[in-house]
Amino acid sequence: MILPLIDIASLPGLDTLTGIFGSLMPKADFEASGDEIVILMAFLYELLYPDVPH
Amino acid sequence: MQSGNQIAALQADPGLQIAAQDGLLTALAAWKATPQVAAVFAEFDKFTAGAALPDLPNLAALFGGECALDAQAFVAPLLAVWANCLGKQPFGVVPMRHHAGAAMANLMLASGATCMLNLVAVDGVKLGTVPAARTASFAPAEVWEVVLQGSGSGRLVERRGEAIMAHPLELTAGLALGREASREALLLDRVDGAMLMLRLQRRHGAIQPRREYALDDGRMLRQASATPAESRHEVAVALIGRMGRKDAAPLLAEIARDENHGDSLRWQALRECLGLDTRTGFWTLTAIARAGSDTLAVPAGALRAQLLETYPQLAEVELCHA
Repeated sequence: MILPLIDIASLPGLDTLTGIFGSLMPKADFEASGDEIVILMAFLYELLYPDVPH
Repeated sequence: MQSGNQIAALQADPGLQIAAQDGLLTALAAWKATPQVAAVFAEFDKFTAGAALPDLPNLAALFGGECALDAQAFVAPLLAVWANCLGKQPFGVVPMRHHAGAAMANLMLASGATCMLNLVAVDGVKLGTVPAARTASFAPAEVWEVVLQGSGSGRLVERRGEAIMAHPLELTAGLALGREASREALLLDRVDGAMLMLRLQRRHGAIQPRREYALDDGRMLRQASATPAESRHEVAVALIGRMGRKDAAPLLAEIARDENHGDSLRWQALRECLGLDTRTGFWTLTAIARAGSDTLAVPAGALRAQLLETYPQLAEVELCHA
């Protein structure tokens, strides 16, 4: 018996989707998360170029 | 930044980095070795193994009755020495898992299995800049909290069936709360200065997602996996599908039928299984659709009907299996 190949894109998801762990971040933290990357960049910059005067 | 030279010095001399850590590590070891703290940690291990809090007198003493002094006496020696160390070595890294968000900072004193003991600091000024919460999220867990220092106000949000109610709560040092987090959530609205809390929690019912509800009308807004493991499995299942691993179809079928997993993971496994191996997938789909008590029986039945309409030859798969 030759069975059809089913395209997974044609299969529906559940009515209520579930986000991955951590995706319900508290709003307070979510709104502040923009700065964290800047802090990390500054930290790495200083680590890589410690001799550049600040 | 003014810290440039200090970082440069630390980078140039690993000995300085070790010295910066040394004081923090020594203080942690000394703290854990004191009899009272050791007793709490020993009972925390029993707690992670499933013991009830009332059966653990040293741990329970931090969260019951006149507990603020006990809880303060528990953490204060460590914090005092660490604050001193960090004053001398500002680039020392606290040797415990920690995280600082907009207004809250967390220090994980202990963790194991599904349990955590956290010290939570809340910055009142920063909290004041954040708009008041209009939603609350709930996930199955037993949670105990005690305010060690500081004061403020908040709301204990209770979910009963479809209804959601917020009860105002004044937070003062010594206040201890025990709640079932699938029904009750704590929201902080105002903190005077800074507040320090100790929080003990034990997750249960890992397959239940964390759900977020609107406070004004109680409607559910969003949901997400309550455990990292569930999400990790979902990613792995999707990856197996993209890799075209037909040999994994029986394993995916097993995951799809296992009601100890969350619905979202099971449904993804079912979809990937159907995509990889039509026969195994369709058998699994049929089995789930026919298990009346299964939470996925209804969507599985609908999908089965849809597939049979699109591919009538699938009816033969069922006959072969029977």
